[in-house]
Amino acid sequence: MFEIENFDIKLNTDFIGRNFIYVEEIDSTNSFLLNRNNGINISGTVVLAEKQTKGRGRKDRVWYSSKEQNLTFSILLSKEYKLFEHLNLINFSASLAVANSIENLYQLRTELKWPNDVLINKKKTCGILLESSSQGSKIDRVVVGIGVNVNQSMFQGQFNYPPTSIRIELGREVEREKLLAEILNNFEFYLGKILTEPAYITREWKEKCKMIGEKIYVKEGDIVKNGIFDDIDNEGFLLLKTKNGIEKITIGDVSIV
Amino acid sequence: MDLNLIKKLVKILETSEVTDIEIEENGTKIKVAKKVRVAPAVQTINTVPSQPAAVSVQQTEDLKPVEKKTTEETAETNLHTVRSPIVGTFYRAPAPDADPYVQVGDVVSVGTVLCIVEAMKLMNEIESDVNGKIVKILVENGKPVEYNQPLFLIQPM
Repeated sequence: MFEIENFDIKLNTDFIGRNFIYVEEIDSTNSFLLNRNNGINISGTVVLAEKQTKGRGRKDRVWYSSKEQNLTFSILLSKEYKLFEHLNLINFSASLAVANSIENLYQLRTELKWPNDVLINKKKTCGILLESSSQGSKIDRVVVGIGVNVNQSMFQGQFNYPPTSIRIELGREVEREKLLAEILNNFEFYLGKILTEPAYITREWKEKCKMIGEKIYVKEGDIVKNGIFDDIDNEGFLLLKTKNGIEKITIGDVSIV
Repeated sequence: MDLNLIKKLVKILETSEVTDIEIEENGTKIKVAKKVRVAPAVQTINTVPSQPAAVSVQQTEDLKPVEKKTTEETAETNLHTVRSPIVGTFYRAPAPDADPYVQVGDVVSVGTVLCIVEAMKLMNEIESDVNGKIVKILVENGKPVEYNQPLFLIQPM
């Protein structure tokens, strides 16, 4: 059971998570917030679900999560037009918020995998999927979907990337309420930085990404590109150094060769 | 229209710090401009001054399509253009094996999802902002798109 009072007491934000919706079961927290017809328009609204029946990642890949052991939630940003000029930095902010929260609370070392996976010991402990909707060219809502493996003790099946959880890495269960509040507190801090000092976000992100300078391959569908992870640009895109020069990568699964 | 003249203007622009050149000859106005952030140069050719057609610089090497496109857009001035709000990859369907959201000829209304543009695990659903009929889909599935690149032409209804 998620104790909302324990969460609330740790939440120290102005708007992120101030409107908080807790549900036992839902198809997808992202879909719920993205759909304007559900009538939820308060920016910063967080929906936490104990179980998602259609939790998903990129390209409708399924996100598996055991009930009541993890954190699967989405954050709505509505009509934050200044922030929406930096969508990729919102993306980085989410992964930085999760990584730093895990380090602050449990002293576990985390690293980031482009664009926004959070790893502990080279294994994935958090996946993030942003969805936005625009009518014509104007983006008016962005939903940040975050799944953190918290207290799950084992993973069965086949995964694109080997999974782990905080419990597995730490050797004990942790309090989900405290972790969620910490993540939201950090996320709001980074959103503020996007507006005042955007370079701070890319700098922090680069410090936590251990793949820069390494030989990598980027897989997208049937296409595989090989090269050296040279850097990220100001907008967060991956700069891949290949035989033919620097190529800007906007999507794909990155792995070390 | 003298295509060589346009080529020359583009060359001057590319090799200089000037950001735009505009000339008028026999009632035809040619404006060549570069936008440094998005692409090395953006070229605009106005046959009708009130209907600018922006064409990205990738096409400057082969100027014929530029000319063709200008004519088309002039002929289709009453069409509504839906543009990409972000840099990313264009998808016509929610998943690789799913059906496309829309096809040419489909009637759409405000709010109908037309496509997804993805960048860095951000999936942006683009909905129609008009009621109308899809006349043309300008980008192939899976291809990269730039900010503000035209994606769909819709005949308003």
